[in-house]
Amino acid sequence: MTFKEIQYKISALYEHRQPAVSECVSLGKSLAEADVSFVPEYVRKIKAAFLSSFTVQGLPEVFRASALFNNVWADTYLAPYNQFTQEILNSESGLYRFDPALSYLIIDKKDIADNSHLETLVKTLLAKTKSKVVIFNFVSEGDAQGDTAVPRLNETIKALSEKETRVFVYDFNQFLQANGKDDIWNTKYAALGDFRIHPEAFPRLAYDISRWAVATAGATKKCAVLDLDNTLWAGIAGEDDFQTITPNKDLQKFLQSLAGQGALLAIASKNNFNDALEVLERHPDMALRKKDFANLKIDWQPKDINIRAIAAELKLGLDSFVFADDSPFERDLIRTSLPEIAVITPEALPTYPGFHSVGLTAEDFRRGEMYKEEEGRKEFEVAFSSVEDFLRELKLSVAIYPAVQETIPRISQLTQKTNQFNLTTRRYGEDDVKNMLLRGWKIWSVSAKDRFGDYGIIGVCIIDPAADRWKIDTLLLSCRILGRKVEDIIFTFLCSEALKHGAQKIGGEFIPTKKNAPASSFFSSVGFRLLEKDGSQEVYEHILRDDYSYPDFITVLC
Amino acid sequence: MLTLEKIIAKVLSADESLITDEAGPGSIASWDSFNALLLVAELEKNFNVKFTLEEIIIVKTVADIKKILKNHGIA
Repeated sequence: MTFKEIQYKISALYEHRQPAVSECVSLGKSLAEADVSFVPEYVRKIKAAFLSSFTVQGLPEVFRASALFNNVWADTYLAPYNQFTQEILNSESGLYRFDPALSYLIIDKKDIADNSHLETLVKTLLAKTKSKVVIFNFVSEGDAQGDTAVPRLNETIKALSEKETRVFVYDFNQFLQANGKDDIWNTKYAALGDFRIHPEAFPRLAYDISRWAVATAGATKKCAVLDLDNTLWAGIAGEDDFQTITPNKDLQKFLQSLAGQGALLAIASKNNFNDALEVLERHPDMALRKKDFANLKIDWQPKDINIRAIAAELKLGLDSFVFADDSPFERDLIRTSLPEIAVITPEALPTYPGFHSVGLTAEDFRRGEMYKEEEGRKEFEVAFSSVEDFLRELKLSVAIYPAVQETIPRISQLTQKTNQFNLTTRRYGEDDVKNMLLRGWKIWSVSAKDRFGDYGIIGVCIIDPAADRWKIDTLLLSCRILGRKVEDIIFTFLCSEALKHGAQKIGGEFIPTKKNAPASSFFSSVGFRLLEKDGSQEVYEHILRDDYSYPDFITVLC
Repeated sequence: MLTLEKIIAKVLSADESLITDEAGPGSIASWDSFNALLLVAELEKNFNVKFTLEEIIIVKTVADIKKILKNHGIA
């Protein structure tokens, strides 16, 4: 399998609450054998050692797979069975030749002599390597009343973790409790090959402890992109009644705490902007509000395009993102088109390990604020360059052709269906279109293609061509193609055509309706002057310049 | 529900054609003690049974597995 294939499989596998251990082991092994020359630059490498007092064979391979889910490539070392003491005390051991950056100590209370044994081990490890040391806390069971061995051991490691910046305690007891201690710890597998942790628990365990791999490798995620419908709230904004929409308070509170630690929150959701904003700003049960998000992309564009834009505007690499959406389609889209993003279900957010970092700074706590300030200042600049770049990558090509017999039906249909980006909302049947052509009016269809596919005809332009002043009767675009500067292309085209025909001015009206707010700023954005305005319409005009040129990031055919 | 041979082949990452009645740790390289445990887990999950320690220890071939499954009411 290629690296990309393994990466995809790992990402898809971790959608399940309990991925199958045999698959995880197999993927971890494939990773170790994969051609390293194809590993992308955003993947960071670390070396992780596992020292255990019982059998954890298979765990390192599963750990490799879990680490890759968050863009970390882990080389792993497994100390020989129950030789954790020897490996640590012997300077020539395989452990020191391996030279780990991260070491996991997984010790059963039965196999540790006393507190000083434990302390010696940890201190030696710290002295002989630069490794971070993660110690599983000790499991008590079958302890006689008053037997304080385990609590004392746990006290010792707690004290060590507070004193030493490189020592951390993994709450293994909490893992057992959350996942069913009897099904995992000291099952019958303990008698078979000394697997005191049931191998079936390895994927969940590896996923949980991979947080230190993320932190050590510097791969900590910086931004969570959330969907809205059935993710941040139950229900669909714009379709379900406002009162029936139920905000997911637990999830939102969790996200608030994430933000409090310096993570950024963003939204990528397919809704009418106003419908979504109504819930976001005015629903009484929302814990999060618009101000809590560093970036919002609420429109009908494909989510991968929007997330790319978010990354560019926030000036973050795509590898620092995690994306949560209830829709398997959207998750798979992002998994495929943006593999460096960790894709999870909304339910998996609270246990997601990718935001773990070692040591928070004051800057982390302020990051959200800083972004908001920066955003206000640089909004135009950032937006401009980022849109160009990703449009360029999009390989967008726009074709503007005169209406012909075959395209009249589609043209007519668009005038009847299109509400949002429609300057005048004039509805025309096929006969109307034919009559306009007979009268000498000019009608063009606008179609578009990009690297993801062909949109077909998605825009219409109808001109009443007087000798010196062309009038835009209709200019509309399907909402699918908004946000790609196609309307600017049409403007440039119309002006070039008008010039060719000897006109000196081009004018048009904007007739506001309940739905066409997206088109309200079109005229001013391309430099038309407002001539007059009354209750029902605004009239604009543009005096033609000598020449017009298309931007280089879009291909135009006409 | 997958067949026994398919499950074994999957866990061992081996070709299904190798999973004959006589196959076992001796004949298939990937049938080591670790994979043997994963196999137990998969079989228990797939056939909804629980094997005892004694049953697990005595298995030497695929035929042995079939015998044990039969004892649990699985043909």
